[in-house]
Amino acid sequence: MSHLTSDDLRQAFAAGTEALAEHRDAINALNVFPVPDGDTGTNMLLTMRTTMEHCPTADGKTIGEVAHQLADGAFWGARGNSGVILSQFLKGFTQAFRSLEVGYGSDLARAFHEGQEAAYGAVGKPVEGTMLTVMASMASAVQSSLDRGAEEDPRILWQTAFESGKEATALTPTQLPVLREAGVVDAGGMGVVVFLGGALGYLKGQDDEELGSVVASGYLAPSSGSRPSLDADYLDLVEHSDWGYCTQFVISGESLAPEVIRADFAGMSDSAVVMGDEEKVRVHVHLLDPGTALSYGAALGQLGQIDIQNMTEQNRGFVAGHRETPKGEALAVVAVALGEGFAALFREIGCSAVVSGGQTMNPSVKEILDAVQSVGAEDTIILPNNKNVAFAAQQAAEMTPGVHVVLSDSAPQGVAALLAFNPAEPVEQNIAAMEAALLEVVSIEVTQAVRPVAINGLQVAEGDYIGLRDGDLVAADKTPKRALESVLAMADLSGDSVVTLYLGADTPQEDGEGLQQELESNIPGIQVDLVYGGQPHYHYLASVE
Amino acid sequence: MAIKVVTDSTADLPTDLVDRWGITVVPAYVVMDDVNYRDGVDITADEFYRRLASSPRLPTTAQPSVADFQSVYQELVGQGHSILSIHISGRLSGTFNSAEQARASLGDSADIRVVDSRLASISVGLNALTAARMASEGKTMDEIVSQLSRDLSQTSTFFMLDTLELLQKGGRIGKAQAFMGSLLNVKPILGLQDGEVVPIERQRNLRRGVGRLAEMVRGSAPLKALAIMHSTDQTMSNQLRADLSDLLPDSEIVSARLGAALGVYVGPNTVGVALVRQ
Repeated sequence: MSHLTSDDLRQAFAAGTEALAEHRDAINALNVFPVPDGDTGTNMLLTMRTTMEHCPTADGKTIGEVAHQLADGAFWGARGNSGVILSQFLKGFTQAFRSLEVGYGSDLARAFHEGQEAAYGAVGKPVEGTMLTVMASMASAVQSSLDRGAEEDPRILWQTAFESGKEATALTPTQLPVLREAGVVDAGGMGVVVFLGGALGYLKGQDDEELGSVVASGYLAPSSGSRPSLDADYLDLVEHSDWGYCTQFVISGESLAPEVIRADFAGMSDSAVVMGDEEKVRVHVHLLDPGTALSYGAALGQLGQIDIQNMTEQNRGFVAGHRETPKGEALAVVAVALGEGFAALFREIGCSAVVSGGQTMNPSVKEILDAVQSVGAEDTIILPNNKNVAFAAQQAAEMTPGVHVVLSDSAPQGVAALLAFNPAEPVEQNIAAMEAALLEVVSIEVTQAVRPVAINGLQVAEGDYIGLRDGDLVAADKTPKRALESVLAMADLSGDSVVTLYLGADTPQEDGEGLQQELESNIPGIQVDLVYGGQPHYHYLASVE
Repeated sequence: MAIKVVTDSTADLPTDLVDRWGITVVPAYVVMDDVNYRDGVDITADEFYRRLASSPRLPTTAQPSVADFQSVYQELVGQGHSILSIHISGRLSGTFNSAEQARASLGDSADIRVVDSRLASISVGLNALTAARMASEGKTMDEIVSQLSRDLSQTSTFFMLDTLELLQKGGRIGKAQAFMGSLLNVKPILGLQDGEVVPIERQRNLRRGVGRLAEMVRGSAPLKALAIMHSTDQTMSNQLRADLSDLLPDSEIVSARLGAALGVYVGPNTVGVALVRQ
């Protein structure tokens, strides 16, 4: 490759944007500086998306024209600390191609140099060990490679920048103490590396850079749990700090002086980033009171694109997302259930763990205790959700202090009990509320008879579908749907009833929907909720309350 | 020279009560589709909820600025008044912080008390009303503040949301995170405790939830004050009001509308109650 065309530049940026999209969450997770709020990847991605929207095609344009459109898009799209710095880097980067038809290696070297210079210039108080350092390192690596007489192939120089960026990012914890404390490399630096890596993949026509593992290497300590994590002491420290508000806006006016505005904001905040020209200036600043920044800006011109984020809240969400299993929870629930649908449901509505088991697959006492231990709560309530499991659950409770059982006989009863669970309340109150709640529901099961039986005046043939109400066989029919309908007919349904139908693993969704529609049209006001339970053997489980 | 009560728009006080008791309401800000609105001034609750459904980006909020409070305080102090400024929980909003900074900036010569109610919406409003009523009766600042501190500890707020999504995205969900979910149709009832949102219980539909809210209010009787609030569905709040009409004289039960600033977090179909126990 002798030179970059306008299309090369645009496509490379587009590929870099795609790479940011793919690794956004992983980059977010590294974000501890300047505020641990986990939005670096998102901000860089959103910045790049707007950048690309401003340059939909390179057709018929010179590289200079494409560069100009990209720089313009970067200004309007800039978002968040990292996004504004990236945008400023791109502004400098693209300026190197101004008035050119195509870009040669020496132009690319100049682009990296002007990019890092513009990025440093936009930051009120530049800090080393951040994306600024990474940009500077890339620029000097590319230049010294040219100075040593390396080929002017833009693709090779791009590779040089990428490699240097990776190394510089790995070194950021040695420069910025907060990174070392948190046990991560700088998220913004990693974002730059990912962007350049994605772009490089396009230039080489192949993605041979394992960006996923590059991002994963951003954690200093090897992972112990299911995923890499931040240092626990660090999380404790930052969780209780007041981070103020991330305040962003664009001032539109006449004869604006970006460098004066930057200096003023640098006096108010450690993380002020200001860029722009005489007519429009973008301000990104972290302040305890965003009002002061807005008032300052409004005195200079019209404010637009105002965006204020509460970083203390963002930080809480970030910290919560980084904590491994919440060890030492005061109170937790463990349920026994069969079927992926039920497992997901029990987890979602408040179970810390779900043990697989039920009518035909009774879990051992040890399996239940293992689950209790993995949760690590001071008190744990077990929902056996089946009469056959009750004994093992009670054994577990007798053997271990802090383990309690709420005797739910079916999964629908267990769901009702769990909905009454409130981790903020004491354990005794929860047990009482859960026991009361499960008595409020009638629980229905539909399954297939494995042998003929005569019971409750019903003659059941092998293979017939039987309906049970609270464990008693009360209906038998030739299809599961009709068996269910028979039991429901005995349930005194009214417009106030709530029926929840849990579909079994092999039950067609249409059958459930048909039943739902029939009930809703026959009994005005009734609420029928359809949930995928995924349980084996039971075509339907249901609750009526 | 009198004591004037100041609160903010998140207290959701109905205009007629604001006017009758001479309360000053400082508006919070709501940013919707990149435009900054003063809650209740530039944007009504009706307009906000109508546009919320189709707004491409979630609206955000910002507390009134220090300067906003400074100008309100300066004007009242200039007229020779003392000020009691009562606001939404400092754990949910920076409003108290702004007010406190404004108070500090005006120096000790201005007689201003800023109170963090640790509450939100009309539960703040009920207490602002008590303060304004006592001020009109000629009570001293100390008497009012002492009554307020007792009343605030006896105030409860319960509200049911159609969905927790906005509360979560807005970063105000707190411990109610435990009630997030989409697999099953449940309506969360939440409360306020120590200035934060806490989960209370879950009901299978709004109708049952409204019934539970009424039971919770009854469980707190005898009451000194009661308010019913809603965001978009007045039928539910009217029904609650009718159900609870025996607890207090009708003229004393306040019906409040959750304005845009809190609407950003609670969304449509929210209904709730605020009460002060006797």
